[in-house]
Amino acid sequence: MNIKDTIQFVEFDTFYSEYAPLSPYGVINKNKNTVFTNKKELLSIYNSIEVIVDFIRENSFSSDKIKNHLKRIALLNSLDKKIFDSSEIFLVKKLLVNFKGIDKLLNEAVKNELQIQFESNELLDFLSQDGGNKETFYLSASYCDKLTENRIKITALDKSLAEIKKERFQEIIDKHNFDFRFRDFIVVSENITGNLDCELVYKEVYDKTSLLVKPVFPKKYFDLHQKREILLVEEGKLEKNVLQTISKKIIAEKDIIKSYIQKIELLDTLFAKATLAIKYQMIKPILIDRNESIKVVKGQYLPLANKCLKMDTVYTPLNAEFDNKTCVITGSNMGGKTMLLKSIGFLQLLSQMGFWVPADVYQTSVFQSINYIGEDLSEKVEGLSSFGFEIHNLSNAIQNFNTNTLLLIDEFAKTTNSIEAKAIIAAMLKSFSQKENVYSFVSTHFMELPEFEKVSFYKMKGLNYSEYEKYYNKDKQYSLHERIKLINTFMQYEIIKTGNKDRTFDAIKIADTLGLNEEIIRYTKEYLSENYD
Amino acid sequence: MSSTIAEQLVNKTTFLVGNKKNAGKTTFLNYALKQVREVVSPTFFTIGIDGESSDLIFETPKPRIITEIGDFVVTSDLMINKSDALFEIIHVFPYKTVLGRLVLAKTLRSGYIELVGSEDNKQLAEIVSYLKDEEQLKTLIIDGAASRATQVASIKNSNFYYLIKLDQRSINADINKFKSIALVSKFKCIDAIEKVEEKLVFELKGALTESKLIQIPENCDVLLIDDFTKIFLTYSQIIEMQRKLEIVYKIPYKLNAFVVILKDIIKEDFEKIIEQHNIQENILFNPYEY
Repeated sequence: MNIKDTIQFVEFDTFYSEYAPLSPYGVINKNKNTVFTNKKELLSIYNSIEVIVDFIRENSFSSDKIKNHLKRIALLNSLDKKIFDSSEIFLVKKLLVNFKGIDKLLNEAVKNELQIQFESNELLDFLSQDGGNKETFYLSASYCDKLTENRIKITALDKSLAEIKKERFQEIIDKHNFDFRFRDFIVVSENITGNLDCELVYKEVYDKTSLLVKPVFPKKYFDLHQKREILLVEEGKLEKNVLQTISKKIIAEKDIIKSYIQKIELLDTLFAKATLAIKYQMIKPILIDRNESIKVVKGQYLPLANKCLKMDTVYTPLNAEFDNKTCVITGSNMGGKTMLLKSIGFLQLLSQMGFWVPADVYQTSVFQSINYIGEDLSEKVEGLSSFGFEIHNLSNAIQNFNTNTLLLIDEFAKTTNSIEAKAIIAAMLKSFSQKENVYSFVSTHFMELPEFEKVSFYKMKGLNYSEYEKYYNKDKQYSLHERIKLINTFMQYEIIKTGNKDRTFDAIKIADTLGLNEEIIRYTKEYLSENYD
Repeated sequence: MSSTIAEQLVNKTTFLVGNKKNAGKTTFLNYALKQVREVVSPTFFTIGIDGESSDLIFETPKPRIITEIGDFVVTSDLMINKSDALFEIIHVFPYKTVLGRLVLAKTLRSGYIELVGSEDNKQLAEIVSYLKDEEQLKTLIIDGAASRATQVASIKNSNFYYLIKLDQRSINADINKFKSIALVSKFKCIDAIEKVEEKLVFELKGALTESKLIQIPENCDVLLIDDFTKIFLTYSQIIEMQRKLEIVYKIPYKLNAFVVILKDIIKEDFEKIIEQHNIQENILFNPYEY
C-alpha cells in the first residue's frame, strides 16, 4: 500500500518520531512503516499491547531494566555461516545475555502472550568461560589446553623481551644519555653523534643537520622474537580450532537464536507502542465489518493537539458518527474541514500500523488502500499542475476500488473553474456512493451539491459570531497571532449533520477578523445582499 | 615536558591534528600513549583509514602502534583478528568500514594494532559519547585526519594538538597556516563572553568565507560561528575583521599546544621566524628531538 501522501498529509512523522524502539531490530521494524491489512493480525497486536501496558503499569522498575536490555542488544551479523570470529561470537553472547535478562524480568502473562522462553543456558555458559555472564567476550585459553600452554609461553617471552629492552635502554642512557623509554627513535644534531657505539644505537640521516638514532637490540632479542612469531602462528591455528568448536555450538542453536531475534523485535516494538499508549491515554481501536459506520468519540489529532498545547490554545477533539460511506464535509475557512480529514487519516494510520489510538472510541474498518487526494504536498511532478496531480492520484485510487478503500479528499479541484469542478465532485459522489468497498471523506467549499442516496452531508459548525462580536474590539490593533487565537477561541470545531442545501457564509467574518481592508469587506457584503437572500 | 603531556591528556578527549599528511601524528600518538600509561589506561582510536605505508617526515616505514595491557582500542574487527595482541571484545559498534565493523576492545596481551575508524563526524560523536557514558572511559586520544580539524569541532569540550611540519621547501606557506591556526584557535566560546546580552551578536551559519563577509551587519559587535574549522579567510582578512568585531564560537574546545616538527630548519632559525611573526604560542618542539 502506498501511504506516502497520506503520511505527509496527516503529518504522521511528528507522532512517529516519538515511537522509539530501542534495539536495532525494533528500529529496523519501525523503518519499514508497515501498514497491516489483516484484521486478525491487528487484533492480536492490540491485545499484546494491552498485556504490555498492564506490565509497565505494574512493574515500572522491571520495565526500565527491560528497556535497558533492549538498548544494549546489537545487530548480529549473518548466522548462516560456518565459522564466526570473536566479534561475531561477542554479538551472539551479548544477545543471549540480554535476552536472558529480559526473560527473567518479564511476568508469566507477557511470556505466555509473546511465547518468550530463554533456553540457551548451556550455550551461554560455554561462551562465558572466564567471565561469568558478562556481555564481553574473548577467546579464553581455557577452551583448549594447548592454547593455554602456548599463551603461557608467549607471555614468558614477552616478559624476557621487555627485560632485554629495559636493560638495553639503560645501557644507552649510561653510555650516551639518550632515553628511549618513551621514544622509538630520537633526532639528534649530527655534531653530537661522532662517538656513538654502533653496538647500542643505529643512526641514519634525518635532514641536512640532524641524524635519526634508534636503539640496537642484542641478537638474543631477535631470537626470542622469532620464537614468539612461531608461537603466534601456532596460537592462530589453535584459536581457529576453538572458533570452530564455538561456532558449531552456535550453529546448532541457530534457529533458536533467530527466534529470539524475532521475539526481541516484537517485544521492543510492543514496548514502544505501549509506552505511547500510556503517555497519550490511548485505547484499542474497534475493528468493524465493511458495512458498519465509522465512529469517533473524543478522537485526538495529536500533531494539532500538541501544537495547541504549546500555543496555549484550545484543542477540540473529534466526535462523529458517519452513517454513510460517502461523506461530504463543508464549512468555514479555518473551520476544521481539513483537520477532520487529517484526524480520520491519523487515527486510521495509527490503527493500521498496530498502535492504539488517542480517543474514547474509534470504530473503523480495515482498509486495503488508504489515499489522500488534494494539494500536492511534496515536490511538484514536472509538467503536472495541481489539478493534474489530483486527477492522477484519484485515478490511481480508483484502481483499488475492488478492495476496501479509504479516500480522504481535501477541497478537490479548487484550482480549476468552479462550474466544472462542482460537476466533477458531484460525479465522484455519485460514483463512490455506489461502491460497496469505498469509504470517502470529501471536504469542499462548493454548496448545494446534488443529493444522492447513501451520501451524507456534514458541516463544521463554524464561528460563534454572537459571542465573538461581544469580545472583538474593532479599534484594537491585533497581531496576526492574536487574530488567529481569536478565531480559534470562537470557532466551534464540531461536526453537525446537514443536508445538501446548507449554506455557510463565514468567509467574510474570517477575512474581517484577519484584518482585511474595510472597503473590500463592505463591497463584498453589498454584492452578496444584491445577489443572494 | 612529559608530565605536562600526561596532565593534558588524562580524563580528556584529545585529537591529534596535522597540517598535512604524515605530519607525524602516529609517531606522536605512540609517544603520548607512553606518557599517559604512566597515569591511566588510555583509550585510543583514529578517524578513517590511513592508506599511507610510510611516514614521510621521518622517511621511515609508517610507525606501528603498540597497544599495552589494559589499553582500550577502537578499531575494526578485521584489525583485531590480524593483531598479535590479545583482546577482550567489549562492544561492537553498528558502523561498518571497508575493513570491517568497528569494535571496542580491551587489551589483554600487548602487541601491534592497526587502527581503523569512522570517517563520519556523527558516528565519531556517537562513539565518543558511548565510550564516556556507557563505558566510563575518560582518557580518549584520537589520531585525527590530516588537514581537517572538523572532528575536533564535532566533540564538545575536546582538546587538540596541532602537529605542524615545517619544511624548508614550503616554509612560507607553512608559517602562514601556522599563524592562521594560532590566531583562530584563540577566539573564545560565546559562553565566555562577558555581557554578551548587551552586544549585537550576528550568527553566521556555515562557513565564514570571503563572499559571506557582506552578510555581516556593519554595527555588529560579535560574530558567532560554529567553530574554528568554519573559517576560510586569509590571515590578513581575519586580522582586518578583528578590528571591527569579535569572532566567537558556539562549540568550545581547547588547543593544548602546537607540536612543531622541523625538517632542514635549525631550531634557532625557526625561533627567529616566529619572533618576526609575533607568534607566541605554546609550542612543543619535536618530542623526538634530543
